[in-house]
Amino acid sequence: MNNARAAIVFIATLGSFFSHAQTNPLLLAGTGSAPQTSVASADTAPAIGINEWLLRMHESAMKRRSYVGTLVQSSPQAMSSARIWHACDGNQQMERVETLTGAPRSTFRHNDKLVIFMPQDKLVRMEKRESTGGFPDVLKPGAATTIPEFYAIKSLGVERIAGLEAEAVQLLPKDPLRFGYRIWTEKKSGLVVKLQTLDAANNVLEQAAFSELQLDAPVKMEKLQHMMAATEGYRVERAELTKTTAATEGWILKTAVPGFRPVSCFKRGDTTVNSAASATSAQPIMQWIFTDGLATVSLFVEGFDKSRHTQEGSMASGSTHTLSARMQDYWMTAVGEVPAQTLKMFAASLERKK
Amino acid sequence: MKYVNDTAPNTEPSLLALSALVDSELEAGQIAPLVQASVQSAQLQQAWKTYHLIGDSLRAHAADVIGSRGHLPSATALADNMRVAALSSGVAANDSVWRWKMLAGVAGVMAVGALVWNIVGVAPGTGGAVLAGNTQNTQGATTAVAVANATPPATSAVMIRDQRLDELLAAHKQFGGASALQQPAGFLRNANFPTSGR
Repeated sequence: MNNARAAIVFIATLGSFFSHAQTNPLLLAGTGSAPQTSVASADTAPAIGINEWLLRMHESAMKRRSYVGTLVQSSPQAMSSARIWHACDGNQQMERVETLTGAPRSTFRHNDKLVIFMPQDKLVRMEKRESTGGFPDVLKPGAATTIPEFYAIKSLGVERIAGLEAEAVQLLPKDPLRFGYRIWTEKKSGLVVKLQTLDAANNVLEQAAFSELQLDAPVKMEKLQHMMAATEGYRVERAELTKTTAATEGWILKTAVPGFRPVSCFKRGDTTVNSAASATSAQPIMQWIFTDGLATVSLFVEGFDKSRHTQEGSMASGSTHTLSARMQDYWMTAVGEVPAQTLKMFAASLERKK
Repeated sequence: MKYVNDTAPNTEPSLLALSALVDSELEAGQIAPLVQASVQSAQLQQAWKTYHLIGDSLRAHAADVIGSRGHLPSATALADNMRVAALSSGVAANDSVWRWKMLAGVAGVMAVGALVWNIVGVAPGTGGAVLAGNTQNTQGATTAVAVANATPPATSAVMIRDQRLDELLAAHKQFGGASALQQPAGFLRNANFPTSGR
């Protein structure tokens, strides 16, 4: 037996004994009840509107300096952590994310390019993000934004997160078709250091927060770029994306879901490059993306396959819900960080037109 | 490190396995029986919470301690940290960092790994069949209405995530970046999302 692990188990047993002595208040906090935050002026509205606040957060992010931190994400169904390296020189942004939980995975993002290393499978996935017409476009002057129609903003004051002073705000949904959020941004840099997704009763469905964060860390962009390009020995899988429209693919939404507007539609088909001479492609699938400015819903539609598409219904993991259903010769999967009823409305409105 | 199920008595092998799971060192074949055992054992659930607390404690203090003393905190120091935190419940309930640790810990109790989804709409093999039946007899739009009207069961079940759902989820997270929260808080929402087997 490993001595270090035995020691940890022993310590944990001790800790377990002590923590039982005060289970109730902490468990109540842990199960997602609205936390008793040590915040100031919880009911005061911020001096700026929600759009201005979001835009300011975005601009801060763009100017952000380099940092290294450990992020912990939790929901009632899952918990995971990751180490983040972020480099920014004003024009370019680069990130490296190493999962510390579950299968090893290294994600590199350089502006719109995404490379994911999966060492266990010796596989690399390469993707290129395309502007979806979403944020921050939705907030630019002249653009139609519906965020204030569906969310209100409330200041929660200042709190310490990962040893740093952070300003907290709550975004409150105005109808049951979307979740609320609490967001903590570091006071000087504007970096989002903690994010909670809340249900209608203010229970925390999911949260992510830095447990440790070092701002202005010496992260070298060149080094990250070098690591991102080191795909030798890996099988490379490229996500092939074709821009399309739902109408072109033969689909319409009979009735719009309040607040959600379509922002883009892709046809996806992944190509795996095993060698220079061979490549295989997966069956294409349509991804129709909607947003209300804060939450996003994807409607995936593909041909029905009785061997794979065996289970209809809804599932939830944290704030993410899915809904799968057969539609004649097609299989629809709706995914979004929204309540199940929102996905049901999407499913009820989706209709085949050709 | 490779986990070895040695001769430790009673629940200790499970505790060791749980500790290995927290450290991402448990072999895949050992996870399922451990999850099953954990569902039925309050002790294992408590241990799961505590191990994450220890992890948080190590992360929080490792940098300082290594920097000042050149080695990791001793087991005694860790136990002291935990004891102080556990006994000072009145204060801790208002302390944001402690609250976060507990939230993460309790979330971990419910999880025992990042492998499950709650089935909230239709129970497998029942509602699914009903919906499929509706689909065969009606038009697509009607099918969707049937989905919308499906009555959730009184209790939810859990299932192991499948790879296809993971792929769609990843696509949603990576290309559904239309949200105002996506850009500045991008990885907080998606880059760290665990997937099974990928």
